Formats: sequence, C-alpha cells, structure tokens
Amino acid sequence: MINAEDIINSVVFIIVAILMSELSIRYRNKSEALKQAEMRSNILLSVSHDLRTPLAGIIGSLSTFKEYKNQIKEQDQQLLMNSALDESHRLHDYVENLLQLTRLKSKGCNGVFVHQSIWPVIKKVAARFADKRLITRKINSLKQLNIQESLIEQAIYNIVDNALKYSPKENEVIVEVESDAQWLYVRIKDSGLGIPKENRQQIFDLFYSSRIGDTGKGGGGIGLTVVKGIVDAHKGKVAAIDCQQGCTIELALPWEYINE
Amino acid sequence: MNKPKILLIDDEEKIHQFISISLTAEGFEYLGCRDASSGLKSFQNNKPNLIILDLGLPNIDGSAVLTMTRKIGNIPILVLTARDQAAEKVNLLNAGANDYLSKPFEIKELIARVKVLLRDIQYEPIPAELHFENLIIKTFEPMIFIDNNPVHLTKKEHQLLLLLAINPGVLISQKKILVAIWGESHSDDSHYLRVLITHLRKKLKDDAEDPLYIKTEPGIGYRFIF
Repeated sequence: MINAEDIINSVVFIIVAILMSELSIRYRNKSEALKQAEMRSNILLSVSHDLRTPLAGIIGSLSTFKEYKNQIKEQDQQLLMNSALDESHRLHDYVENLLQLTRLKSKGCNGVFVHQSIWPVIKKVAARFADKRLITRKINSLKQLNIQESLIEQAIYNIVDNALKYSPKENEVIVEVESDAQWLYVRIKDSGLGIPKENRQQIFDLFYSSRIGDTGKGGGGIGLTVVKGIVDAHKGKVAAIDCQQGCTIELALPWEYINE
Repeated sequence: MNKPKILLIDDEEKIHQFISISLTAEGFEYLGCRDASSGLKSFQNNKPNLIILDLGLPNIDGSAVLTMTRKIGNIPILVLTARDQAAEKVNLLNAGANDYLSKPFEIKELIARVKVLLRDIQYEPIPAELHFENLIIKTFEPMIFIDNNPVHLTKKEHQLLLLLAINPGVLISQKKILVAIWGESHSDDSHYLRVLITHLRKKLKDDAEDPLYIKTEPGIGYRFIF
C-alpha cells in the first residue's frame, strides 16, 4: 500500500527539484547577462581609451606649443609638432581600422581585385614605417596574384605595427615573403613576449586584448580582427605560428583565387 | 627656494613630452616614470611635491599607486583618466586623489590645477627616516631601530606609528586612525586600535603608564611624545 507520507515526500521532492532547476536557469541567464554587460562596458572603456589617448597627445602637444612657443627651445617646438603629427597618424590608423571593420562586417569585401605582385605592397608598408628595425626579404621568386592592394596593405600594416610596438626597441622585425605551388606566404616575425598557445586563436577575435578595459598593456583588439576579415575575403588563412620566442604571424594567400 | 618637484607617472611617451616641456617652462622640476613600481620608487627616493598619475598603467593599476602613497602621507595627487563617468570620478576622489583631469585636456588647465594643489595643500615631503633620540623609524619599510637594534613591525603597526610620529606632539583622534588604517567602515571599532597599540608598544618597549613614545588621551586618541 502506498504510504501518504511517501507521496508527500515525493511531491515535495519533485517541487524542490523543479524549483532548483528553474532557479539555476535563472541564475545562469542572470550571470550570462552580467558577463555580457561587463564585456560591453570593457569594450566601451577600451574604445574610449584608444580614441582619447592619441587625442590627449594631439591636444596636449598643440596647446603646449601655443602656450609656450616663445619660451621653449626650437628643438622642443619640433618635438611637440612631431608628437602631434605622430598621434594624429595613430588616431587615423585606429579610425581607419574601425571603419574597415564596419565595412567588412556589413558588406564583406566587394572592391576590385587586381592581378599584381605583392612585393610593392610590402615595400609600401615598410616605407610608411620608415623604421630601421624593419627588414623585408623575399625567399624565392613570386608570381602575381589577385588582391585588393589597399586591403592587403592595411592587413600587413596592422601586423607590422603590433610587431614593432611589442618588440624590444633594439630588435628587428622581419617581413618575409615565400611561395609554394599553392600559397603565397607573408610572415611577420617579432621578438616580443610571444603569445601563449591557448590564446593564439583568440587574438583574431574582435576586442580580444591582453588589456582589461583601459588598464594594462595591449591594444584595443581591433587590428587583428581587421586582418582576419581581409584575409578571409581573399580566401586566405592567417595564424600565429611559432610563438616560443617572439611571435610569427603567417598570412597565406592562394594563387588560384579569382574574384567572382 | 628650490623648484617644486612634480612626478609624472604615465606610460604614454607623448604625454611625458608635452607635460615635461610645460612643467619646465613653468619653473617646476619634472620627474618622469613609465610604470607604477618605478613611480613608487621615485616617490620614495626623489621626494616630489606633487604627483600627476595616469590611471591606466601597465602591470600595476594606477589606483594601487594612489592607495600606497596615501598610506604614507598627504602628497597632492592629480589623476589623469581616460574615463569620464561621474561614478569613476567619485571613486577616484574617495580613493585619495585631490583632483582629476579627463583626457584629452589643454595644458593650461593642467598647469592651473597643479598650481592650485600646490597652493592649497601644505605638504612637506617625508624623509626616508624619522629620527627621535634613540628611535629611528624607516618611512618606506615597516622597520624601526631602537638604540640601533632593528625591530620589524607589521604593516599596520608601521602605519600607526608613522601616522603619530609625522605629527609629533599632535593629538590624533581614534576615529582618524581607525579610518586611515582600517577604512571608513571600521571608524567605531576602537577595540581594533587598542589591540594594535598594545602590540606596537610591546615592540617599542613602551609603557602605557609611563610612556616614552605614545601617550594615550583616554577616550579621545593618542599622541607621539618625544
């Protein structure tokens, strides 16, 4: 015979189980929402930091020039002007990446592909940096391939910019181009701190950074996402390889891709 | 008169360039550090009169510098921040900043704020050691010497002793000490302070009934006598 107490216990047990499961779902949703809110706030801090920092350099340098130009040495006047210019370029690069990202996200890559060599693009990037630490080399002869020059230039520029920024000041950064039967490889080798294995995939995620919000070292987490978007649009591959000492970012573009 | 020394702790080279040029033009001595730990070292070694501190520093957050320097004294601190939300600013002021400036800013505003802080806050840089006859108190490490014999203190004992010894003869209220050492939420926990004073007196070989260093003002506070 069924005991009344057993029935009550079973009913109570079922009610408690349902309640617990409901509560745990709510808790999960809540903590997910919290995590999302925290992420949004960190992204906002990060973007705000990346826009305000170069602006602080520009406004600070120019207002100092305006205020003290009659009291300071010509050398310092030059320094202030160069600072303002450098920071303007930094801001331009950042805004350019943000715009590129928006374009890639909204309509992909619908520009014109031109059959050309990649070597002049590499040389153009090197000229933009005009940095003695930057070494370019061709490993073997290169055929022409279909690319959107301005996009590939921006992708390589972003990687080289990171490499120069995070390598010790006296160390070289090497941009190496090599080809095999299927692919054209552009490898950017730096001697920075390297990237832990578990993070090598994440570095291409939007807003992924070793920085938390606006605190700590690291970039804003946009540059490498743009690189990935551009390389994808060329049906290519990009990866962080060999990051034991320093890091090598390898960009591989297929010979056979023809814009449809 | 010596030039007032201004310590700038910021990891951005361009910020250092224009601030150093303007501070020098204004007749200040500029000291520059790129991260929190070298900033704290410079604070101890060079004894600046004011700190301009960026919050978003690599490795150690700028707010940690704020907390650490506040434990030692009332040096004027002007914080530079890329954040501009009201709550952030309130937190900064609560953590011990005397003023803040949101990036970007014009140099005129920064210089004006530096001058106001130097004018309004009476601050004498604290020396690395305080000497009182047979007692030497290290300012930046929890250590004292009694008759040249080293005695290690806990961080809280050291903080309490410094708080009293940098104002010799002045009565420091229990509440002020409690807030400085344990924070606002412990402003009434006077038993914490009684225990700490007992431990400190033991290390100082001081007698509460016939004190050499710390005199109790019953129910009110303590003063450092010498």
